[in-house]
Amino acid sequence: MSISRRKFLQSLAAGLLGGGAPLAAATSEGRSSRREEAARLAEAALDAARTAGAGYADVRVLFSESEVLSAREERIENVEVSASSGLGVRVLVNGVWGFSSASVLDPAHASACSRSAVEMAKSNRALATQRVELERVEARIDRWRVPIEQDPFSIPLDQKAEELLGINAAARAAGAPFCRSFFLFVRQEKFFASSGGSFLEQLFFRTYPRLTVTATDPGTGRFANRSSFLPPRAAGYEYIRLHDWKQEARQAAEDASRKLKAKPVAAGKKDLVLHPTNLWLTLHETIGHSTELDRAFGYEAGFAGTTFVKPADRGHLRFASEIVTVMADRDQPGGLATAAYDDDGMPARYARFPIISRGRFENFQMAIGQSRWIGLPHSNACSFAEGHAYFPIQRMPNISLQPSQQDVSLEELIAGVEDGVYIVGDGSWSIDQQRKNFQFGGQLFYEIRKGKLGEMLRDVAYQSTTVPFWNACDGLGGVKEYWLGGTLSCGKGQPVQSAPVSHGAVPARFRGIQILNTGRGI
Amino acid sequence: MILSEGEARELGTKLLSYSRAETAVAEISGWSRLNVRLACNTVTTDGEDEGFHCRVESSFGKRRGEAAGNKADPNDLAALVRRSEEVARVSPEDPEFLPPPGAQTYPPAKGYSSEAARLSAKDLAEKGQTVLAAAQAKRVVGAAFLECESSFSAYTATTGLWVFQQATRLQYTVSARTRDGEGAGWAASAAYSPNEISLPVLVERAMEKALRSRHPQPLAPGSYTVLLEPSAVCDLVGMLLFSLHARPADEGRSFLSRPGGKTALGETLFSDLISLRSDPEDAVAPGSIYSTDGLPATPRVWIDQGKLQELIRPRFWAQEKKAPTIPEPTNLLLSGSDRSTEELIQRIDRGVLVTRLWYIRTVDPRTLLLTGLTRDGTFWIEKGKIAHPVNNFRFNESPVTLLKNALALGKPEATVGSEVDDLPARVPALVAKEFTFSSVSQAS
Repeated sequence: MSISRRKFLQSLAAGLLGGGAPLAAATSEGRSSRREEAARLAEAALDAARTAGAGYADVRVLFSESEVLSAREERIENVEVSASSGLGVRVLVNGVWGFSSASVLDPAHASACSRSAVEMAKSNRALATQRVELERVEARIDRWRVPIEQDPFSIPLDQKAEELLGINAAARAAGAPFCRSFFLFVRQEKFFASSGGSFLEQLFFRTYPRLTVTATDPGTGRFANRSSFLPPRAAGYEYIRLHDWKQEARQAAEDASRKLKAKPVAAGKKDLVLHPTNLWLTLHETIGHSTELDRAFGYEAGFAGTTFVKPADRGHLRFASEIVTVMADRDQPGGLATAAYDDDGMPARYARFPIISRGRFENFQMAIGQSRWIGLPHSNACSFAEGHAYFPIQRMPNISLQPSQQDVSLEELIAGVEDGVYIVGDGSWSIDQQRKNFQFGGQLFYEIRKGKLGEMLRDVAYQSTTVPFWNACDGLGGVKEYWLGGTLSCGKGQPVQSAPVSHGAVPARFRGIQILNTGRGI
Repeated sequence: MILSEGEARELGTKLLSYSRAETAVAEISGWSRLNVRLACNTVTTDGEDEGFHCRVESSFGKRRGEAAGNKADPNDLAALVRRSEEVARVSPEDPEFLPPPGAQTYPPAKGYSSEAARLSAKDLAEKGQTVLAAAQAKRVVGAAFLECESSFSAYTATTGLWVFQQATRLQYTVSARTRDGEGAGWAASAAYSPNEISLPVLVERAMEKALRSRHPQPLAPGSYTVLLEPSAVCDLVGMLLFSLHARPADEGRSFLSRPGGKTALGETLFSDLISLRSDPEDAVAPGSIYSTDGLPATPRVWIDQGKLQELIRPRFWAQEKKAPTIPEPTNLLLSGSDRSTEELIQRIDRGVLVTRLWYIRTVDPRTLLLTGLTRDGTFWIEKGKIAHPVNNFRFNESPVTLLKNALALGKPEATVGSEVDDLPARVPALVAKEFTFSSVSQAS
């Protein structure tokens, strides 16, 4: 492994490092200096790991920055900037993993970190009744970055604060007594090096704007919330700039006020039309998590849970109706899991695969070392670690419901419903540990009568079981209706890790789904 | 990275000496963590993490800015202070800004054990053997997460405020599934000291639950008397505790709001069996000695024999309402009795025993209606005995209703919930009537 590292350092010195999409700031002194620093640390860590007895080792060096600005009514509540860096070393010693991390970045600490990781693996050797075996990952030296138009960190903080105050003012002018809003920006440089000879440099940006408006009725003590629908994305400041926030704030204020007077839903089985701002989360919980191979083999039994999907179900299970195809990817523009490589160093092209094809379950998501469990030659680039102090585990790539081949509109889906409910925006969500029984809410609910949208409803949730639910899907919107949702905080693993992931979806219609009335007295 | 009080004070003093702001606050913390994870009767992952975190808040007049980093080097700390000042200078004035509090008096920190701080990776590996040996003996598939942490934290301000504490935390979670996948069990606890947590007890409990929960009989959803074991109580009562905020109640956007701008403070909302406290000096589950804004976390009774006594009220809102400042609680203590879980079961004619809850989310903030599921051991109780395992359920219930319907409490014990898992908690099992299971979950 050290030969590869030395070659890498030589190529750095000669300015030969390249490949992949060019880094806009690759020539800047700062970035180049970080690359050299990461390479030195990686070399020290990998050499120490090999010397200490590791058969395989990889190291992640991360430099992260974030900004959070939050506003409440007419005041900026908080402006916080944060910067952190560190490295994590993962080693495989006689088929047992060891992991250690450090936040002091110098070669001595990197070496010590590797030795600790090897010691950890040796300490736990007696606990290993199964040995980890890894497939060979092709060595790569590459660079990549999330394409953005405007670096959010280049925008002055006072300008961002003014923008937030303007959003809140618009909501308040539209009659909402309360409005909270925030902007979150993340920039993360991630360097990956492995004993297999890879050295990968990736630069990520994530931007998350959000507002929540509350309307109250002091006479009755009732209140109602409405949040913005825009999800976090892998994007720059243009994501905020191109959205009409003041209009969204006014609309949110109006919606929240209407929710106060909305009609309680009548519980029972009804047809359901879900807007993609709602469906992305249902897709995430029911299809995303149920098709993780580590869950199928019991590796998450103690925490996140197992899954109803069995290894033998590949190619057989009728997961959904024939119109449903769900694809994984790591190349969708704006996708939070979009990357050139996963955290095992696997190229993103392996992450483009069908999970469900025309209703049939096709394949699981896998991290390195897992594909052999089901007789496949390699993983499909589904590994991620939240930060330098986290062991990489199997996590979702972007997972998206494919649009209808036909040009079907939302209105056409609604037109096919005699008695139903239309839901916009995500609300409450909960699902069991085998991903069967779920219950989801939303933000805005409307009755559908004889193919037309009717009155606004309140106290709505839908409850179903994953396979019957997806088999009840009989209508999908076309490509013009496609919308990319997502979250920054999908939790899994122990210690629990957050992962960013996006899910594309189109409006979809489901027949005969149980609608709950969640109104209660206390 | 662990600092002694002297080292932390030196660092804090140096940090504040860099400040050119009118006021500055610094929070510094460091930790050393070890973990090992088991599943499928083998080790899966492990880890070691040494970390440091520093947050600086600077203010000029009512302009305020924060900066945070993970480096303890003096140059990095000086840069952090400067960055927080830059942020403050460009931030709009905050009309709710209050300067940091001055020097305070704190209770003694109780949550540190030198024995816990000395635990090594080899010690954790030995504990892992306890789990695997039992799994083999009982012919179940074992899983566990064993974690130990030693940490320090300090809060200091240019106003003279200084507080420091060291803490340790051990958290053991044990799960077991029968080989046919039909039965599942779980047990977990957390403690600051190895003397307050017994891995063999947790192992026995989780594996026995797994073996007893095989072949569940169907039970229809509906309204049942329930016996919630401490973990389930921790989740539901913990979510209630952190909803006891004065400001949203006063503003008319809380389940505690009442028409005409009034609140439920002072109302008897719950059964008179229910008293909910926090006390950083609790002997079993001690909490942090400081809370919001570095204020002391003093003993407090939130609910006294069913009556809502206190609401969390930060300094600004306290000033607005001319009411006392009430910082957030740092632990969770629910009243109980001397009765064992077995004695509680004996008092139930027909009901459902719930080991733990899972994936709990708020459905309606107006009633604090929560939904979630039972998991890892759900049993039918008949005529004072556990009759047989039953299917899992989804519930839709408010903790307000749960505590109103409380019929009996067991002996409080240290526990962790699925959602409320990082707050020191000592709570009992709880029997309540009319708990709403809204649908069946076929998950096992």
